[in-house]
Amino acid sequence: MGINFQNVDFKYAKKASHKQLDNVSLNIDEKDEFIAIVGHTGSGKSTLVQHMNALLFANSGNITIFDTKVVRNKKIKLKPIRKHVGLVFQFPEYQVFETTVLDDIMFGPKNFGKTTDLAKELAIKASQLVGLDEELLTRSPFTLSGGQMRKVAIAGALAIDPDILILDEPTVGLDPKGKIELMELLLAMQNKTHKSIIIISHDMNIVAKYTKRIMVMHSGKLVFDGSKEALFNNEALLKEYNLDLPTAAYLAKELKAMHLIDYDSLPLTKEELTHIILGDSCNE
Amino acid sequence: MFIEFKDVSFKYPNNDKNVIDHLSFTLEKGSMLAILGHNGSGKSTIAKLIMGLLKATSGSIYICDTLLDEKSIDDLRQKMSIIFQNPDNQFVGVTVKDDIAFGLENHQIPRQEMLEKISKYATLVDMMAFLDANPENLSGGQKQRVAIAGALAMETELIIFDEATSMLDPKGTKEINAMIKKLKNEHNKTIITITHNLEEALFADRVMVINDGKIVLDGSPQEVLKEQTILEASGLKLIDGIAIIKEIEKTSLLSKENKEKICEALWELTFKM
Ligand SMILES: Nc1ncnc2c1ncn2[C@@H]1O[C@H](COP(=O)(O)OP(=O)(O)OP(=O)(O)O)[C@@H](O)[C@H]1O
Ligand SMILES: Nc1ncnc2c1ncn2[C@@H]1O[C@H](COP(=O)(O)OP(=O)(O)OP(=O)(O)O)[C@@H](O)[C@H]1O
Ligand SMILES: [Mg+2]
Ligand SMILES: [Mg+2]
Repeated sequence: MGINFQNVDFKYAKKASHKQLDNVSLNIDEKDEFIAIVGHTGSGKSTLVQHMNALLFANSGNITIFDTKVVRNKKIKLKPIRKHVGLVFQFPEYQVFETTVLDDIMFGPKNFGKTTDLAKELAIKASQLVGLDEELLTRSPFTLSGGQMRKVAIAGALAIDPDILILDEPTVGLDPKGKIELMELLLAMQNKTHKSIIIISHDMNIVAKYTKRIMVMHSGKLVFDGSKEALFNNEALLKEYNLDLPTAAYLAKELKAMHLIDYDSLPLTKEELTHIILGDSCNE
Repeated sequence: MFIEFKDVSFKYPNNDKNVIDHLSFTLEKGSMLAILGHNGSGKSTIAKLIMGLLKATSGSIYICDTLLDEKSIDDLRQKMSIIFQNPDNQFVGVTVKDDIAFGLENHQIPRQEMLEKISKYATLVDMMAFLDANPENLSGGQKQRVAIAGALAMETELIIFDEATSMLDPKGTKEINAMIKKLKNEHNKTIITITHNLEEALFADRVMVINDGKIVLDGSPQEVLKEQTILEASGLKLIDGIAIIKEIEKTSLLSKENKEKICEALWELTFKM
């Protein structure tokens, strides 16, 4: 169950010399995964996740999503796949299209067979979860600010309630408070339902605080797949793929070099660093 | 003064609320202003008012001491460029090259010079390999790079970045930020960056926080970024280094001397990031 890739290759253009996915193998459990996909601009992150709910199809290799083997051109049913795996696009503009915000969020549940009344109920609940002002529900999604539109797109995916939720740069455009609220919402949802959650992000502070496992993409290849601790303690790897440390880890290393603090394992969040700074002196 | 807002208010036609509410401020030529604020606070609206893309409902806006109105707008626009929050709103051409050229054509730049500028700015954002690609077929960060090149190529006096680097990778963000500093310091450009990334506000000359269309904080990054109460009431947070300093200041677990040393180090490290 969950998502499985075996030696997946993909190119957008047949003639291109470069593969956008190059021999990617991975396995994602249906339950309790919290994964961050990171990597440089154009490394293939969005391309990768579009293969995880059958928006794109591999040129070679195998992809299995829940029990379905996903193949191009075969008469496989895509709808159940999309109910298993929900994807929020990197650009919310590609996702919103109805005349009002409410209709837009209702579209998903209706499309998956919910009655209008139930879809409305689910949509209102989802909009409250992401912190959309009620007065926005009757507006056209195209008159929203950037962050408001992002929230509509996320609410639309939540209203469908997929088994695995993938969000492509979900915190871009959200204000700092909204970012934390969204991540706390996802975490609470996972604690309650055990759904697996996958985010794409360049924000290492968010990645370090909320996710457990990190996948690093580089020129179409999956070059690292492991725990966040393993990644952030591997200086050579971070350097090779131009990845940043979370702010707290950076500050911790500098303070340690100045002999102001000491620790055994590198703190990754500001809470952990604060604890080290305050805890340290207790022992002195 | 490059920009002056005098008691400016703005309402969208289908919405009775004053999205911009009696706003007054000035911005000096050659300086860099970061605008922060919660979602829907009015940041992009301010940018569009400056660009003359929206017209103030009341109050007046001056650009380089000239009142921005129907008569002056065409001339004043030649001085300003903007990178929109959504790069797709920027794209008009079917190739990256056309796209960068579009703004230049509007500025009636001769063809040879245009070609030189296209390659200069595409190189600057590291997108030379994509000149013939369709902007629609680019990754998110690549789109933002192209949008930045298009705006920079016009070489205007004012450049507004509306969350223009929000999808770039850490290395790309650093490169663009270094370029912004250079534009300001070496070419005396006036820069406005609208951002949710408070680290990006650290190197501005001035930071303004908007809440529901009003200015609630306005000062140097050192002053503004420690105003915990107002920041939090405006959808913002302290950045990690400063948040840790605030925690340390409260504690009785550390000696006074130790506290001061660590806080000083954190403050310096934060502002040199
Ligand atoms: N529709 C498309 N047609 C052709 N090439 C494409 C298309 N979409 C993406 N590409 C190319 O494929 C590569 C991978 O793109 P992808 O969008 O997966 O990158 P990404 O890792 O998500 O990057 P970013 O962080 O900038 O969003 C890029 O070089 C991009 O230019
Ligand atoms: N065309 C429009 N019609 C009606 N209301 C609009 C329109 N465009 C924006 N608004 C509203 O005006 C307010 C300010 O929008 P603006 O885009 O300036 O916010 P912002 O500060 O840039 O937010 P964000 O950080 O989310 O980008 C928001 O509440 C938004 O919903
Ligand atoms: Mg992407
Ligand atoms: Mg905006």
